[in-house]
Amino acid sequence: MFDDQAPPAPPLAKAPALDLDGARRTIERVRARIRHDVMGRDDVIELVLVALFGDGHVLLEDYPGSGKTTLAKALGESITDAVHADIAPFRRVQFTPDLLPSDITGVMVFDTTTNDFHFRRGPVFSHVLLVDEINRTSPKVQAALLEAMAEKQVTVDNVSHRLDDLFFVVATQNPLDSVGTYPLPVAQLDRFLFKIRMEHVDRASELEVLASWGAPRSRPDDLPKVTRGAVIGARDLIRRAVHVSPKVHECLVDIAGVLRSDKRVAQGVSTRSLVQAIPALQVRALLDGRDFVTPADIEHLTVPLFRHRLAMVPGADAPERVVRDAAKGPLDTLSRSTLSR
Amino acid sequence: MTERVAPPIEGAEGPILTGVRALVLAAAAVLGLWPLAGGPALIAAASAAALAVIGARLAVGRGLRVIVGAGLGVTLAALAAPLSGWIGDSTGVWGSLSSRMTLVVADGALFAGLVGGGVFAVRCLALRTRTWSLVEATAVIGAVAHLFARHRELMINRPRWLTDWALTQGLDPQVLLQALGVMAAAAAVVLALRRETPLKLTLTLLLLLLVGAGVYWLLEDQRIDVDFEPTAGLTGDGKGDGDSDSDSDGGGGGAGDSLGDGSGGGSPPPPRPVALALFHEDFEPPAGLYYFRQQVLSHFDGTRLSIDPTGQFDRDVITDFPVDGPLTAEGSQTAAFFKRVPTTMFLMVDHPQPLALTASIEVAPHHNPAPRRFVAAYEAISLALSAPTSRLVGRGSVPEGWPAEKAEHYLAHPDDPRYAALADELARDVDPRFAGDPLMVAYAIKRYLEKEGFYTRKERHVGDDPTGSFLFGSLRGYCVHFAHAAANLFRSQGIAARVAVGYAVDAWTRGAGSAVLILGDRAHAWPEIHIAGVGWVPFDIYPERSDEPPPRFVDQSLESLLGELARDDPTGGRGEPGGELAIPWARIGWTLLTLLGLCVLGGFIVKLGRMGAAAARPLAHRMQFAATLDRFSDLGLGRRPDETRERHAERLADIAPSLVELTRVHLRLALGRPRSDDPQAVHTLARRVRSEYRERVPGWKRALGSLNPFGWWFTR
Repeated sequence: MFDDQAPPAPPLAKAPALDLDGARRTIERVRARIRHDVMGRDDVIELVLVALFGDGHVLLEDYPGSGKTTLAKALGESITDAVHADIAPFRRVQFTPDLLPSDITGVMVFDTTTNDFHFRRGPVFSHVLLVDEINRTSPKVQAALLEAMAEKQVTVDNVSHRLDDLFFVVATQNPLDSVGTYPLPVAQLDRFLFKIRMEHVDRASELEVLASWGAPRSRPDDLPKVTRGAVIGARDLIRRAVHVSPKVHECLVDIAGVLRSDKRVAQGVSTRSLVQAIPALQVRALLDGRDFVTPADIEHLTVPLFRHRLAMVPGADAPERVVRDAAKGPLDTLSRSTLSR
Repeated sequence: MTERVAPPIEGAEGPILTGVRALVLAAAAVLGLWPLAGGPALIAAASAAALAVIGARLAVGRGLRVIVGAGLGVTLAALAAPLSGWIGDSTGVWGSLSSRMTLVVADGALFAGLVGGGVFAVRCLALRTRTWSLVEATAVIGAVAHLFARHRELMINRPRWLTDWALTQGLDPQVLLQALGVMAAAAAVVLALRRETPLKLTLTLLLLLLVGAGVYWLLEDQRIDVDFEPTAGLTGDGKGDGDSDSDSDGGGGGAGDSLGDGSGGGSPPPPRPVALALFHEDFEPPAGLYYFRQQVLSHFDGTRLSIDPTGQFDRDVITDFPVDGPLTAEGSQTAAFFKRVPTTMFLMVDHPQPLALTASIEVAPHHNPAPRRFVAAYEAISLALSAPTSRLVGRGSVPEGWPAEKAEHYLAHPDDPRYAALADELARDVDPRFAGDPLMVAYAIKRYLEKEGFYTRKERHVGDDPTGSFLFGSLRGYCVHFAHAAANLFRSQGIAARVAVGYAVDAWTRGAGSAVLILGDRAHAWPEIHIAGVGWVPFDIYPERSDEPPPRFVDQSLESLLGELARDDPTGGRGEPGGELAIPWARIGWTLLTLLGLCVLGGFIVKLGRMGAAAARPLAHRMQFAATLDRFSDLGLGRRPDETRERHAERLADIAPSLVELTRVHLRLALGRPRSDDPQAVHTLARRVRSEYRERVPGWKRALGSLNPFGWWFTR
């Protein structure tokens, strides 16, 4: 799959004209496909979709065998790209302690036929990348991946190679299994839009999984794929068309302020997290059928948005509780403000 | 979303509210336990309640599981009694602490454990499930009601510092306690209503009604349940009960009973309060007995002593009630031998003559503070013997200045020679140094009667000379027999004597304080002898043998309560009413009431103003929305601070499904890109929501809501 001949990803073709309904339909189409493959994970699927269309990355904190590969694979396979066939829709990398940065970014190889070096692409050149056990590898590799996530480019031998605009990382880590790991520092966790903590699926869904195991899974025809262009077009449209009131900005800044001044918090959230929050809130508003962000969106997303970005003082409450507490006041102020001019 | 987050704490509240709640529950613990526990235990219970509130908030806030917290609380409460018992029984504790401290610690452990554990358990549960805070409100109201109930059972004197203070301010302590109770109940209701749900609103209103009805009922029934039916004896209906020799009166025993009918009618009736004496200053009687004299019997009618029919004698005894002004006795007492004791008397049963500490020299009218309870009230100034006996020795009995007729009156006794013979015989035993001294002779006679006599109410002495029958017969009889026998013996020795009737109260049976409660069974007759240059002094006989049970302790709470009622006026019944210290409670009350009324009026004005503004400007979408939300706030269904508008609308979707859409349009107007027809849509939707509200909310609830003046305050 490493295609050393292919040039760096070209600039995108203009996405077909979309309206917000079309964008929403695109999201719903992806959602329908993933839901067909992953049962009982609607809440996680929604957050993943919000991250995908909000141009962020997600960190899943869960245990083995909980369906995250299935989820990421279903996501990758929902997106087609006839124009850039050289980019894989889905890649999975198992992070191990002996991994090297070039194993994920790509490497320069010497071609004896042409007596020249060619760049052989790593797995980051894909639409959806599943990084398993991100905390098992060395900080060097983690840093290389995080640069790719933040900049959407990799640099090998002083040559920068752009990644695809769609590039979307689903990373996982097991919070209980800490032996031989390199926990991600807060600064690196900050690159992830969401950290999603998964719970076991409910009984009915688990039974459904068992019942359908082994049976041939045919996907109905009414679950078509979406194109890469549609996804990127939807992203741009949502960013432009979903209204974010200045009051919402104030609310976000206030929440950050409360978090930073909270005595239980050693280090508060970054400005980058607020910047990342805006598109996420826009996607969530659209998923709720609105073209404007409301307090409900903020309430829905604050915990996965901010929870992993806090450094807590020792012995303090769980970050979830701190975030929830911090959001209450600004959210109430925002709700109250709608009754005044 | 799948975060593993504990469900939000429903009752989460700030430190100020937690503090207020701690204070209210501590106050409730004090109020509820006041009739049961002593001071240290009250302090322990109040501290435990406050600590439990704060502890529960902190513990649950830090992730203690509610069920664990409740279990801990219940366990603590269950362990309180065994722990207290162990402390009380443990020899180790007794050894290291004094016995009093041990009891204090045991009591403190019991009440602190019970209250602290209970409050902790309920608070933990209330922090998760709001309905439990109703239990708290009920407990607070129950504590207040309990105090009221005990208060009706005459426990009012328990918070003495409070009632004493109230009394010095001229305030009825009952009113003060009720005001405190109502304040505590109101605070509890406010705390309970803070997070309002229809169920809680209804239940709270019901509780309020119950409390109101309960208080009303208690107020109606606060009359002390004392049966004022006159008992036999001195008390009566004016048919000459003072004449204790009337054979017709055969009721319960006592001084007024017939001299001849010693049977006394079987078992004595339960003692009833007949009068109350308030001492203006400390007075301890020398013999340990307070003698309250009503009448004297000095006229020897050939058979027995009776009231002097001529009115010439016994003019030192005041036999009329003061009406227009003070009545003064004709003084025969020499002040140097007596202590002046001012008292205020309150009669609870009709007496034909005023009752006063012997020997009264002046009675004056006094305002009756509680006409329902007291039939008469008057001031009395008495001269109580204070000189030592040694100063009375060596004096004659009949002064030289007395006319012969008077001396004869007080010396008349039966012809029966046995009296003189017996008295002579007894007089011979007197120490020769004091031979012939009237007082020493009287002591000899007294000693004889005390040693040989047997006090009983079961003996009958009838006939022409029941006194003789007693004295020369079995020597078994009761006070009237002893008094008459002594008087006759005294008279036979030339000692002027008479029989006084009234009540004798043992000093040790009364409680602390300045009030002495006189019970009907303390009716008594005792001899008085006259000592020249001194006056009349009581000279009671105390038989050494008796089949009477010792007097019971006076119900001290009743005594204290009646004393407080008697001290109705600000100066304790001694001075001009309306002292300078009186606080204008009525004015304060009216001012507060007026302020409250103005607040309610203001609330209604704002409420109607908001409704009117919305009706007048249909396209003012914020007003429309707010006026619609006001309806729900009136019912306690306002948006909670931790709730978004959308969730609030979803919560109320059962009542008003259109509120969801209305909220969405409102939010678009406020936070999104409004469409031109949105204001009109808000108007239409608001009308629809209001009609849904009218359809789905029962009429009574809507009526209650419309009466709520402050609902709009909770529209946020």
